Amino acid sequence: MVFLMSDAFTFGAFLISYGTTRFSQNFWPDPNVVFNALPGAGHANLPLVFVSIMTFILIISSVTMVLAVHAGHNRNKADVQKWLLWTIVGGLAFLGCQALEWHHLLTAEHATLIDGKIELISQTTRHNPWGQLVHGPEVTAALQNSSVHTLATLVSEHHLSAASHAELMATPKDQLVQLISNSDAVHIREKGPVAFGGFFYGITGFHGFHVFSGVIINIVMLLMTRNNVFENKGHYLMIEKAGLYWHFVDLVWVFVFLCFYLI
Amino acid sequence: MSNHYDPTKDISPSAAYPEVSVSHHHSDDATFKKKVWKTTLILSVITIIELAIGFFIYFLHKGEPPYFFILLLKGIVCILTLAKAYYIVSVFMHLGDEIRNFIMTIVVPWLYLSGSSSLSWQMDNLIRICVTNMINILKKLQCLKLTRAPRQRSLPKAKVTSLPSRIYFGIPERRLRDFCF
Repeated sequence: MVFLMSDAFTFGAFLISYGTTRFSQNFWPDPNVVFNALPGAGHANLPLVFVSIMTFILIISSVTMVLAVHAGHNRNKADVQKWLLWTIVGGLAFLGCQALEWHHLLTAEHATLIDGKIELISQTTRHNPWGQLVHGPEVTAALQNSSVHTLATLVSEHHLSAASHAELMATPKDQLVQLISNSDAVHIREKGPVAFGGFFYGITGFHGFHVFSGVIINIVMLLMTRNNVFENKGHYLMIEKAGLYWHFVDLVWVFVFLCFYLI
Repeated sequence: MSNHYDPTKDISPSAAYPEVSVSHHHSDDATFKKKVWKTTLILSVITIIELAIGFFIYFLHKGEPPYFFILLLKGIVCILTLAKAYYIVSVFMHLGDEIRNFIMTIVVPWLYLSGSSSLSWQMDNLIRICVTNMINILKKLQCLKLTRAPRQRSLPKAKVTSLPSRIYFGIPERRLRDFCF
C-alpha cells in the first residue's frame, strides 16, 4: 500500500512537470495529429483509434483481475488460474500495442521545415516534427532548397507519381517540386517542442515498465497457484496484493491517456 | 488465558483487523458479479464518451478553433477521467469498502496535490483566454470608434494617428499584456 502510494506520487510528479512544461509553451502538438496511425492501415488518418484499443485492453484486463481475486476468495483454484491467465494475456497485448506504437513514432518520418529546407525526421527525444503547418510560398521556397532524395521520398511515399524511387531520383528537381506543391496530401510542418518526446517516451515508458513488472508478478502468481502454494497456505491474499498493483497500473493509464492523448 | 495460542482460532490478518484488511466477506456471487459488470459498463461508457469528445475536438481543430469551447470540452474530459479513477479505486481496489479514516488518509493528500496543481494550470490557461478575448472585444469596439472618427472631419488627422497605445479602463494595453502573460 505504501509502495503504491509512493509510486502514485512519482507518476503524479511526472505528470505535473509535463503539464507545467506544456502550458509554459505557446504551442503544443495536437495529439490527434501525432497519434493518428493504426498498424496495418497504412497512411489512413485514424486519430485516437489505436490508443482506445489499448485503453480497452487494460480495462478488460483489470476486470479479469477482479474476477481472479474473487475466485481466490472462494478458493476456486481453477478459476484463479483461468482469470490470471487472461489478465496476463491482456497485459502482454497492451505491451505489444505499445511496442508497435513506439516503433511507428520512432521510424515514421515526416516532412519538416528546418533552416529553410525540408528534412524528413521522426519523433525522438531530440526532434519533434509536429510544429505548426507551413503554407504557400514558404513551402515552395523550402522545396527548392531540399535535396532530391528528400523530394523523391516525399513523392513516392504519398503516391504522387507511378514512378519508382530510383526513377524519381533521376527526374528534374523542378518537376518533383511541382508534384509536391500541387498536392494536398503532403503536410509540411515546422519543428515542434523538443520536450514532447522526452515526456512522452519517459512517462509512457515508465508506465510500460510497470505493466511489464505487473505481468511478471501475475506469471509468478499463476505458477504459485499451479503449485498449490496458496491452497496449502489456506488463503489467496497474495493474489489480492498482485491485483491491487494491477489496478494501480490501470489507474495510472487512465491519467496518462487523459494527459497525452485526449487533451 | 485468552492470550494463549489456540490452533482452532483464525489468525489470518483478515480476522485480526477486519476493518482495515484487504480481505472482505463478499455478500454472494450474484451481487458481486452484478457489481463488477456494472462497473465495467460504466468505465467503458465513460471511455467512449471521452473518445467522442476527443473526436469532436479534432473536428473543431480543423476550422478556426473556438478556444474557450475546446477548453470547456477538455475540462469535461478531465472530470470524466476523475469519475473513472473513482470507480477503479473504490470498486476494483476495494477502497470503497474500507473504514472512513483510511479512505481519507489516501484521498485527502491526493485531492490536495492534484487539485492545487491542476487548478493552477487550468486557471492560468483560463485567464490567458479570457484576457485575449477581452482585448479582442475591446479592440473591435475601439475600431468602430476609429472608423466613425474620420466622418466628423473636424478632427485634425495628426491626432488620430498619434494615438499612443490603446488604453483599457485606464490601463495601457502593453501593461495589461505584461501583467497577464
